[in-house]
Amino acid sequence: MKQLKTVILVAWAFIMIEPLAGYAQSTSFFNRLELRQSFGSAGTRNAPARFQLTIPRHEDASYLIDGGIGLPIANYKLGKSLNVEGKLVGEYHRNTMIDEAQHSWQTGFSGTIRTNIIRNVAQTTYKQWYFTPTIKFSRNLQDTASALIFNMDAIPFRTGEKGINLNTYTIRGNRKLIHLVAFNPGLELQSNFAAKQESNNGTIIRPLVKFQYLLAGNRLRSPETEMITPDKTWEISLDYAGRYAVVNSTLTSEKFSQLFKAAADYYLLTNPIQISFGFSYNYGSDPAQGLKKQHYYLATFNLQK
Amino acid sequence: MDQQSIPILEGYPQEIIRRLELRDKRRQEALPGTLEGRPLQLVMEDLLLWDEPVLTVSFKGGSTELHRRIAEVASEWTQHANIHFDFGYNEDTGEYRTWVAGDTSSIRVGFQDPGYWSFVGTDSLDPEICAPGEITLNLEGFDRVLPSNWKGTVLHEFGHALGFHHEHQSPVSKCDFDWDKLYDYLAGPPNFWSKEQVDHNLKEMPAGGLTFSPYDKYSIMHYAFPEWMFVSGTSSPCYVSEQGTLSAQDKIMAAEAYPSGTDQIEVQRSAREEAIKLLLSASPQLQVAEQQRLNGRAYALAAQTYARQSISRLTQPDIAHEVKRAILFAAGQGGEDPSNLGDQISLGNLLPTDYAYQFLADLLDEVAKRFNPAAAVRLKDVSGANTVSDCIAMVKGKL
Repeated sequence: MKQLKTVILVAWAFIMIEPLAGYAQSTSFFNRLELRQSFGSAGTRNAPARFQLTIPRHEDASYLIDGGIGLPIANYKLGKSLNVEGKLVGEYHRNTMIDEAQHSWQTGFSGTIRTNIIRNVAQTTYKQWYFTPTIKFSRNLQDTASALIFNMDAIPFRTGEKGINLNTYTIRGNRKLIHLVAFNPGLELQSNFAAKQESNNGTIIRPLVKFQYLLAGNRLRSPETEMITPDKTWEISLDYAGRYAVVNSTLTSEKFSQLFKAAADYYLLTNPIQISFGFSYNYGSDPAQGLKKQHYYLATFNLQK
Repeated sequence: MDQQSIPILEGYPQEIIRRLELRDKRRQEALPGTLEGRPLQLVMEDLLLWDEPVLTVSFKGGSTELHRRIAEVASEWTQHANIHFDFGYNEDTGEYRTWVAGDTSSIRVGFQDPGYWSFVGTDSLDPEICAPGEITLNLEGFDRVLPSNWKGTVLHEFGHALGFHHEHQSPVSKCDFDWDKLYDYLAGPPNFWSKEQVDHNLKEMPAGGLTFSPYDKYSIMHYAFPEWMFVSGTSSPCYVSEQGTLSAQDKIMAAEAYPSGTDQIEVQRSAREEAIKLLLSASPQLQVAEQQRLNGRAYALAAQTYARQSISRLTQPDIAHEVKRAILFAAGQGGEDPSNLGDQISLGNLLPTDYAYQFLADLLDEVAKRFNPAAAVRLKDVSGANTVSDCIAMVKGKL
């Protein structure tokens, strides 16, 4: 196991060009481009592209690149209650910091279908559903294999005056704690071909479930102004993705794969820029991203505008 | 009874009760008890609701800051009812509409008369009980110091102004008031109420003449009475702590009284127009002034085809309030008061996911379209706004 025993520096480079920009014919090509860590990943917060570098004293330097670029190409209404958006995407993932190096790129089409806002009569609770069909060509350079991957997540968004919200914060009672809960089911279909090892060719179908929980301390409001200023002071989070290969015509032994991350962060500053440092425990695999089973710890220093 | 445990209760002054009772007595004598099978009182109660999509509001006294606070809090009703308050906000001066002699604003807010009270709905324009220029909604002392539950009081009084009665006087409330104690103690300081005032302000209203919801003690239209006023004390079904926001049932009732749907508006409009015509034909003894008023109202109703759907005179504070409300819901803090959301708060701190941003864009698109059907708010517009005030400016720019 290659643990990061002597992390000297983990630098996060955040580059966000119009990070959430939708499709607009009037804007220029470059303004329409989006940079991300990954596309089509449900439950994630606004995860920007990242580059990490470690320079251990007695080993070779290692690095991580997680980057995706997207170009919105479609945005229209389907019937009265569905909204459709589509974008061309490309992703590159390379990680030499972990036990089993990851090196893959993907390109394809990522769509989002969302319902209109659904509300109760009193307008105290709102819901929305998102469906994210994505089809990509994937090249795993580590295993020298190619694949066509289709996946779709069904993501609920919920916000209300009472109860637990989904995919946005829940702040109740004395407002000292901030909760964030997100979960969604999904399905992945991966068809491998042109693999260097013939045994890797075939089709895999994986139902999946993703879950995220975040708990953070909230700086209290100013008692004089009573202004609402959600301001994190610390944060712990759990991320889990479980996949099960119900169909696997390859000769690999893949059945149940899990990806788990537990992290703790302390915020030094949240406004006007966010500065925090943290520590995370990472375990598991993501076969569609070419990420093999890993087990490592990571210390981070985060800077985000 | 310790005098300190007797609260100042909201209620009409004696003079206004006298005018209301005189008017109601005269109406009873001039009008039949039923109109085509409907109790007269039910028809008259419906006429307390406003036909106009926008109610003008003026302030007699008080600072601009106080006006702003009242406007923001009162506007919570308009999130749920298809009606809006026009506080006469002037962007150039930053001031709100001030009262003038002979003022005919729909709601005229004052701070000098004793107590907290408001006329119910269109009663404020009935010259028989409220002459032009007279205060229609009173918030005693708000211009000197705001009481602890001032927001709840503002919402309560503006609820009356929209035509809603006290929830504890609902025909289904069944409050076990200790009447002997009430007559005794409320006759003294600080209320000095007569038995007539106690009855008018606290007695259950008859079911036959009202449209009412299931009893909701958490309604903003329900008083928070001290336990000594009930026979069973804190075990009383009507004992409740002070409320500061609209209850879920309040919001439902507001939406039903002032509906948004085209069909509902048309059904309500035509039924009201028909009821007025029946009233006029069934009661030749009505005073000329009242006949003229009803005729004018029937004429306006006949001309008002879906007027509420094309509201165009909404005020800028309404927009800011609605944008803040949308941001708070997107941020998972929908129960919070929009007026407490600071203008310079970063949207990035409030919205944790892409879905929260998209939800906000969709909700603001609905808000913008209510003000201007041609307006459109997209995700890129929201993501281009760094702060709450940027977001408000963005939506205003779309109009």
